[in-house]
Amino acid sequence: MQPSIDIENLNLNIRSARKAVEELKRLGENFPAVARNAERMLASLKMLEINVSDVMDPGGIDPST
Amino acid sequence: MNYHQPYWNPILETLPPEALRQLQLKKFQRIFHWAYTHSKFHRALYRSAGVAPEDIRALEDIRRVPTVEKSMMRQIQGKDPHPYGDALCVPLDEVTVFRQTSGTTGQPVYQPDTWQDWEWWAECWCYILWSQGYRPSDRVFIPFGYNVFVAFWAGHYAAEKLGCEVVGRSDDITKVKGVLLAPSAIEEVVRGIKGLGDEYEVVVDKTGDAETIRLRVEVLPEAQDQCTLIQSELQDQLRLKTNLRYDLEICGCGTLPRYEVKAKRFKDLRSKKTE
Repeated sequence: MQPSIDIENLNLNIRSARKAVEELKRLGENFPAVARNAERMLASLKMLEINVSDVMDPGGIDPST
Repeated sequence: MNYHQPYWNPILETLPPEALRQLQLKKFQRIFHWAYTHSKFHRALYRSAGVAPEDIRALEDIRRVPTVEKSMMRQIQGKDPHPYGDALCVPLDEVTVFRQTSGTTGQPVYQPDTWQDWEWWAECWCYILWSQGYRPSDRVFIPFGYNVFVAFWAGHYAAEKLGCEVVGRSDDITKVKGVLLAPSAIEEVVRGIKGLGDEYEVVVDKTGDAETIRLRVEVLPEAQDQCTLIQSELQDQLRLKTNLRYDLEICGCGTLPRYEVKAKRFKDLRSKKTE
């Protein structure tokens, strides 16, 4: 039997992480080492959204992102 | 982390079929909308077929979307934004990786990707590798060329993402004039120079103690008047990338042999002479 997975909590944390990393990227506008690493983190966050957030709420997929 | 978990994504991989189809539709709508709004090439193609994002309401509607053929990609590459043409769906400065198809059936098709694209490629392979039993404690060897050819790179990155120890390249590197030479480096240089065709031939030979590398390339008809410039750039790039000097021969387009299967463009005559 598969162990239960708290998908809502996963999703909340992913959304929270995106906000934090987007803010990092904004703050790093004049700090390439911050901005570029934040950009890479956003690419990884996108994988988390594909793996979790999209599955949880397919109706919530924004066609423009 | 639980190594015994059989699924890379226990949510997605156990989704009921109807929920999976709903998700597939939403994802298709998203990517279609993105291509339509960000790429002139795709928008023109879809408009000519009379299909727009709002027309995709069910999975059956996907049949209305025309496919993109390799020949179309070959026609637009080399144009602005150079060298990908207007099929790009992101600004050129977001492209972080260039790879291409093998060129087995003709001119290689360029493949520009963003960092996120490669995260996604690797993610797809992670599903495969995890389901096949690969785990972070494993050591993985992927015997491919590690060159500009697009295939298998995602497998390499996926194995890294899984946490495996990935053992790298061990291929046809050879020593010429005391310098290690990867034939793929020559291919990358030749195919990166504007005005040259994709065909080439390398012959490594030995006369007495002296080793030579003869490189034959084809100049495209529209660049015939720039042979001197091209030859100079080719020699400079080769020296930069391989640290070796070449005897260059610029041939007319269509002179070199074409191959229907994977080309054997690198010939080493030294070993034959010592046999």
